[in-house]
Parts: sequence; C-alpha cells; structure tokens
Amino acid sequence: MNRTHILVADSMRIFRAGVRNLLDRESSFSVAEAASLDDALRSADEHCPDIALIDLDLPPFGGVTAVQQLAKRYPVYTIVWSFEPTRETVLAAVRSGAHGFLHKEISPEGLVRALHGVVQGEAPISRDLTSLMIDALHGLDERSRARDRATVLSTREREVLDLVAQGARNKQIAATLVISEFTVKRHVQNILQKLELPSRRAAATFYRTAFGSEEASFAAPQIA
Amino acid sequence: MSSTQLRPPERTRPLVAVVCAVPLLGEAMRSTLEFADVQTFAANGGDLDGLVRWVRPDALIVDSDAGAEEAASFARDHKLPVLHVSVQDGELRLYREGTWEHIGNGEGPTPESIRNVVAGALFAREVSGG
Repeated sequence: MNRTHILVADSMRIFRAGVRNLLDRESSFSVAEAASLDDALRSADEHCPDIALIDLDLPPFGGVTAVQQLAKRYPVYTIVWSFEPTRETVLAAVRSGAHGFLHKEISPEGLVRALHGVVQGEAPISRDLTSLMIDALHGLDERSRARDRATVLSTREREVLDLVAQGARNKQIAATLVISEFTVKRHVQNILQKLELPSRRAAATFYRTAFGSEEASFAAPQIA
Repeated sequence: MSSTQLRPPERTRPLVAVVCAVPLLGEAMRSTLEFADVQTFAANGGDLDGLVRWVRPDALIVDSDAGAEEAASFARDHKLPVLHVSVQDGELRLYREGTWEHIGNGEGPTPESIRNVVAGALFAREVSGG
C-alpha cells in the first residue's frame, strides 16, 4: 500500500506533535516535520512529501513564501493553515499557489478527512473560508471593472481624483497640484462626466474601489 | 465537596482533562502525557466547574483565556492544578495555590515543558494529599 507523505511545517512543536499523533494512527499517512522554511526545504529533499501542511506564520518569511519556495522545487500539494485567517490572507495564500486553506481549529477527524480528500483530488478549504474566497473574488472582479473604467481618465484627472478620494477640497487640490481652482473644478466636472458619476462623493467611492489602499496616492503628493 | 471526594480510589494512573478550543492540542496531549490517562473535551462555553466535578481529573489543561479564568475560580477549592496552554500566544502558565505562574524559557509550549509541568504538579498534589 502506498502511503501519502505529509510534511507538517509549523514552528510550534506542540502543533506538530498533535498532527503527528493523529496521523500516526492512520496507516495511509507518514509524517515528517519542519519548524522553518529551511527545515521544510531540507525535509522535502529527503522525504519527497505529497502534501505539505504549512503554517501561515512559518518562520522566517511566512507560509505564503514557503508555498512559493516549495512549489518552485517540488510537485507538492500545499495546504496553508492558520488561526483566524482573514480574506486577504486566504487569498494571498491561494494566489501564491496554495491548493487549500484550513483553520487550525479544525477537528482531528476534519483534518484526516481533508487529507484523504486531497489524495482524491479535492481542494481542502474550510466551508466558511470558501465563502470568504468567493467574496474576495467578487471584490477583485469589481476592482478590475473599476480600473478598466478609470482608463478613460487623463493622468491629471487621476491625480485630481486621488486627492478628491482623500477628502481634499478644490482649494487644497489646486495648491497641491499648483493649478488654479477653476482648473480643478473643470477636471472634477470632466471626471464625473467621463465616469458617468453623479457626485464628488460617488467619484471618491469609485476611486477607492478601483485603487483602494494599494494605490492610495499614485502620483500626487499627500494632502498635508 | 472535599478534594479527596474528587478522586476515585480505583484509579491507577492520573487523569488529565483537556478542555480545548483547538482540538489538535488534545491530540498533542495524548502523546505528550503518556504517563496519564487523557480525556479531551471541546471548549464550547459550557459549565467547566460541572465538567470537572463529573470527570474528577487530577489536573486540568485549558487553551483559552476564558477557560483559564473560569478554571481559576474553582481550582483552588479542589486543589486542582490547571495548566493554560495558549497556542495562539505561545504561552504556558500554571495555576497553583491561587496564583498563575508563567512557565518556560521563551520557547512557548513544548511537549517537554508541558510534560514536566504536569508531572510536577501531579507529584506536588500527591505529596500534599490533594
């Protein structure tokens, strides 16, 4: 009988001990442990794991980097797990190449079931994390559409809109960009017309949807 | 209820109750505390005092702050050592004689440190006739 080799990469020994104790009772699994990324890479060299269960906070660079590093070198099926994962962390792990994401609060039976599922080609993602992922994908879709729409704006209009989204008044925008208030007004009118938005507030909301925090101020200096 | 009533005379190995929100901690305790009988229970906000009176363990392990706080409220009366293993914060502390004592050398809760602390607490309880 072929055993499935599991690599448990987690800095907490007590956690690794829990997984090992659980999986040692299962004749279909063998377990190797790693406390860090270096350990994990060494262990992967030695044991050629089929599945790697990786802690999101695996030292020194975290589980997302570990997934990327392992995936570069080995055809290993990677599952990230953590306490209280957020939408962003789940998405970051999956985008980095993780095949699944589990809660660390998972029951022993649930973990065994998830690992057996992987062997049968299933993607292990906790039920609540699945809806979190779908939410995140909707968010990405919305952002992508908003960014497409924003391409109709000129560079100067985007600078103005960025400042509008930061809550700046026309006078402040004029001072920041060293243009007249009249020009700012004209830019704002053009922005609303091009994007078919009813108000300055709607334009600010649109900008945050399109660029959010990752591009809070893409070209213009911050308002003092 | 006196503490002697808490332990049935026929028990040959110490009994450690593990009440955990992280079930894999219970799994770890089974392999770590090989000298004891380990019973695990889900921490679901139930009556911990009632559970302890029913199970009558020689030591109690909890993994949540709420569980630790609740256990501390009755552990002294039962002369029951309580170990709080916080896997999220990487901390280990023992409640004994009315106070919490932090354990470890910055390594967090390891199987060895848990084993040593529980064994020591059980021994101390035995010696003191708890």
